[in-house]
Amino acid sequence: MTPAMSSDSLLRRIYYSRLRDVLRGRLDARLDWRQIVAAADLPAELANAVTQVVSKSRLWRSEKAAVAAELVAHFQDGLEASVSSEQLLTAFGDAQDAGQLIRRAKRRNRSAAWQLWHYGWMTAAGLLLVYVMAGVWMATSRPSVSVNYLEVLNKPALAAPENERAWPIYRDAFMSMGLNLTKTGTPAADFLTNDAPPGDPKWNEKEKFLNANLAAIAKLREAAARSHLGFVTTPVRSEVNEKDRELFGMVLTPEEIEADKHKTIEDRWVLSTLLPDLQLLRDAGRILEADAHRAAMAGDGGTAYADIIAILGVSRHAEEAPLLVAVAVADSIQSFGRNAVRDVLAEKPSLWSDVQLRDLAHQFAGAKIDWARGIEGERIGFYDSMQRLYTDNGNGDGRLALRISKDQNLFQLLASVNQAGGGPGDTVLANSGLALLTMPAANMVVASRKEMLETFENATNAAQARMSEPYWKVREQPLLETFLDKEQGPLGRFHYLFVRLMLPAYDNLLKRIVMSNSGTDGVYIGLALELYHRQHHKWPESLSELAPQWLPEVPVDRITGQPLHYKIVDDKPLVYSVGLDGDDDNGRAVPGEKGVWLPWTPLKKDPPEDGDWILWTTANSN
Amino acid sequence: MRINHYFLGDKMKLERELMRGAAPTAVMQVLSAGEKYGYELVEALARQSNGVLGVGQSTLYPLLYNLEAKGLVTSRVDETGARPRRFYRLTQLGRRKLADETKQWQALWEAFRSLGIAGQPSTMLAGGAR
Repeated sequence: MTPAMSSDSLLRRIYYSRLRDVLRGRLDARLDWRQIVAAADLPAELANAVTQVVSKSRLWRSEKAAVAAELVAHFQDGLEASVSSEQLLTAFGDAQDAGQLIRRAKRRNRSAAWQLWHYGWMTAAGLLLVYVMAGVWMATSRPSVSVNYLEVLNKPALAAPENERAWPIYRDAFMSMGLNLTKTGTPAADFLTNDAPPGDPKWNEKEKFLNANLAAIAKLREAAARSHLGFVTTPVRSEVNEKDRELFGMVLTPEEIEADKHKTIEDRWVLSTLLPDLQLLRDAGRILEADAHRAAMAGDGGTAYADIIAILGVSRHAEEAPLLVAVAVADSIQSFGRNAVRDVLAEKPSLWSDVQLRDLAHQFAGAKIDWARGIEGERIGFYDSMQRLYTDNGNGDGRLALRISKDQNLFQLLASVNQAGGGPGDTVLANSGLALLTMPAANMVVASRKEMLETFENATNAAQARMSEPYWKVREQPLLETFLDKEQGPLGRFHYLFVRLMLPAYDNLLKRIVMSNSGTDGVYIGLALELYHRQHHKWPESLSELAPQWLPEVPVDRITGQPLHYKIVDDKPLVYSVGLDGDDDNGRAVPGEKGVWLPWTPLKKDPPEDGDWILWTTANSN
Repeated sequence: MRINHYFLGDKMKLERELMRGAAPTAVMQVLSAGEKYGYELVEALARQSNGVLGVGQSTLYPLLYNLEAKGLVTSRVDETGARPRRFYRLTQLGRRKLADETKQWQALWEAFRSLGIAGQPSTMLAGGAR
């Protein structure tokens, strides 16, 4: 090889020497291919051809030096064979092409480690490029909110004739009682937190409130008798009636009102709709329950009866908006009516006439909670969410969208949901650049729109199928929520992310329904027992004696399908179900059991609590 | 003056695609006789094929490097002569590959001859330029 020229700078000599030579102190610059060409003393046109080929090859220094040396030797051999420079150049061909071909061939000669690194890097870079392009592509498409599901939700309220709408009357009653959603330190607030029964020193305070608001309570009964609630719900606060805003304690600034004017269908998400009426209707139910008690203690059977009928009316109004939360509130309100019947009969067994007792049974029978309506509402809410979270390909499918509204991206939404659930609300993915890069991965992990919808539908249909069966037939079946666990792997739980977030805990709901229905069975049996007792002046030996004269048929224990347990304790009837644990605890109630399994709370997988469900007793009304 | 066969311009040249398939086999065949450096190989190819398989030098070296990458040939630098030269020789793998390809070319030749496309090699070469 060509020795380093004395005129070379030290740095150049180091650069063009092999590392092992540098380490030995030999700065021979043997990798300097230009020196190799220059030292060969070829005719200028041949030296130029070699230079072009080697330059074009863009190889490593050692490779270039080897190629240069070989080509120099080639041309020197040709010249030595008396071939002219022109002939050699013609035979050699295009130097540019040669450089490229030599580059490819030499690179194939490199080590396997280099090949792995090089093609691995190329592949990774290619995938990254595709990924980023996919992210940009996904960021450019927006969901199309084509169906106004809020209108579907409000259809019953909007269809109600003005003169049949109960809400304005309720509102007047609430306002006159000082009852609103910001209530603190008011008589109404004190009343609603007072659980004292008659005889308790604090009962007097309740009675005082009730007596001071008799006119308003009469208005509650008037409202409850109307056919429709007529409360139109909206997620846009400025669209709430001004009087309602006062009732709900909504204070809006002029800027907020102005901003609301620009809200579109995109801002009318069913899940974000305001349902402040439900809390007040529930309060109305509690006031009517207490008033029934008050009236009974005062010997006013007519008012007590009217209060209970009104409770059923309030319950019916609460479920006007077809949402599960509304139906659950309706069920809760109805439980106040069941309590009131039991309490009145415990305190004043002869207060109501036989006709009133029979009519009460019929009123309860006609006021069945429409759980299916609530489940249909959940479907509406889910459909609405899917059209906001996914794009629409026109065939019912689509992919996750980044921008789900004018001012919120998907991850900000999820963070706010997490925050609402008690988790941290901050997210680094609020940064749109990072969010954009996350989208392709999110779309790979999370199910498509169609699959998400199908999964929700399947789960909901399965829940409805179970609801139509007696509970004792389905109670041993696997939990409904376990079907979501079929997705394995660390990211599996994200596959049906939105189903997991939005699907009601149907297993909880089924328990809630069976307990609620059992409670109503208790009212039927209690009323029938009272009628039997009035006629026979004794309690029946068995519940079967109640049918068919006082009951078309005697309800069975909904947990087992067997007859309900019945016994007389201190000359008072006690009717109970064995409860969720399925075993007879001799009428010992589940401690502290309120029977409230909310469809939105995590399912408890512990064994059910020991104890029975007391469906009817007048032994201890409290 | 010694005129290399390769530079005889009136000889038939194979089409590029056909040459691409034939050249590696031809190079390996020449190397099967013993190791050769680049220019020597060019001369041998042109001479032995009467110029028909004259490989352009801009493609010969990439071809050699590719064969080396596949392990069919190996090379060494000899610095003992007038100038440093890189000699190429066939590996065992190269020999097996050459044997396989020779069979294939023979089969192809037979097929062409059956179709009346090919005659005797010498006839073909002799008449090829006209």
